[in-house]
Amino acid sequence: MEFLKDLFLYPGFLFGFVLGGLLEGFKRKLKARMQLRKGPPVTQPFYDLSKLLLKNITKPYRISSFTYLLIPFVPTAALLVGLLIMPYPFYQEKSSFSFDLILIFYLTELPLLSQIIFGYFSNSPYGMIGAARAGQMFFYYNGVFIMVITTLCLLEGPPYSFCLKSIAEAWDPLDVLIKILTIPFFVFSVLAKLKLNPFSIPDAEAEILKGPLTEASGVALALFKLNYLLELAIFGSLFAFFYLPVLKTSPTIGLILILLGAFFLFFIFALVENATARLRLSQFSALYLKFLIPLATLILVITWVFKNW
Amino acid sequence: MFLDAIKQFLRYSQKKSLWVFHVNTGSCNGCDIEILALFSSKYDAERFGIKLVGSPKHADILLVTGPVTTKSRDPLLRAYDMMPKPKAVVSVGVCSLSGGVFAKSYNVLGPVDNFIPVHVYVGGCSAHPNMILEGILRAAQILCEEEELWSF
Repeated sequence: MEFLKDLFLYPGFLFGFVLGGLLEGFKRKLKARMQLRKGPPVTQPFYDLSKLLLKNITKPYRISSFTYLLIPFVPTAALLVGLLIMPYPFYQEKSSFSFDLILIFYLTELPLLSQIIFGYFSNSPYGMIGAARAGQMFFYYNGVFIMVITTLCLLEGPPYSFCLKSIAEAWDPLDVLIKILTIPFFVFSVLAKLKLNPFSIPDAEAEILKGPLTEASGVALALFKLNYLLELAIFGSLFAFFYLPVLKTSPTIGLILILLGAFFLFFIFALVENATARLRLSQFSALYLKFLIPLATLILVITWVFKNW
Repeated sequence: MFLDAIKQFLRYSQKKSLWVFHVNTGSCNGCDIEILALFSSKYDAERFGIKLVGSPKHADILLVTGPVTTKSRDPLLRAYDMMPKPKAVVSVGVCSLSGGVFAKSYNVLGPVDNFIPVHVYVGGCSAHPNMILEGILRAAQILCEEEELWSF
């Protein structure tokens, strides 16, 4: 009973869904206000999602309905587990999970993998191009993201662990400096992970319709949208755990800090999305190979040297 | 009763979230430019939840501009078939209503409603963005309230 409450209410489904929807709505509203438009209401993602639930499914021929719905459903379950293994206040005291960052990293990659599989599986040329682009981008931004989380795990001196809780509790002056240095890399890799504007290469609307999701409709599309909202909630709260003293204060203030951190991250995203245009794939890989991955590696080495001196 | 309330809410959200797919069946691009203006910051259709989508499989409303020509008939019918139900069609501009200045050309087959059912007609050459916006919102009203469209 307790576990079901965790799974469906507080750190699980309802919390992730509402937080993700509000973050997406907030970002769209903010983007509109920055362009001097009025913009959709903040609750717009919920309307979009609930509308899709009642729609008919028009799937391509020669595809079984079971697989068509199973591919988007697997990452939904994975992301719910991902929410459960994050040390949210009011939950981490009684939880017996180990809050493993590697597991969170792995589970948040599943939506993208499912999109790639769906793109190839749907037999649509646009889906295949989108899936191929997503598969190429995968290696670049995950390189940066792995550097960032490895740097952060070095903060909690030997023995090193990828426990999110110990990273969130590392607040020495040197730790804070290193954490601030890794913020731009975190923002860039999460921008690419969420396919937001300078890196919206896999679902470039003017060129390849909607990329891997071109053939998705009805409930399948709703599940993909739900996955996206849960991803937003996970990355928003991951930002707060990394860069705000969430677990150092009382649980209530910690929860407020998580919300503030997530909304601040999406404020930055709205700013970046408005200020930049979509890159080409070659520009994207050049940016990551020439600048971001070497710099992130440099920060990792510096951290290693400081921590072992 | 509880299920009815949920269903009512889902239908209400259909009215608030309209994804539009745009097909040009041979117009002079005048109406297409007005449709693009509709999504710019001056007219801002996004404030009603209207979004231009790239794939007909995501769309609720089909915007058709221009008279149907011999070459564009099959793509139009295929795009219409690909849209999931419930769906509505808005024909934009006088050419899609009657053929306009292109009527009786050698390759023009006729207005759009000879081929697919049209719910809202928006006249004008070219149609004004505010008129297109009103057309889409009326189509949303029809989409939400017409029982016929929900029988599938």
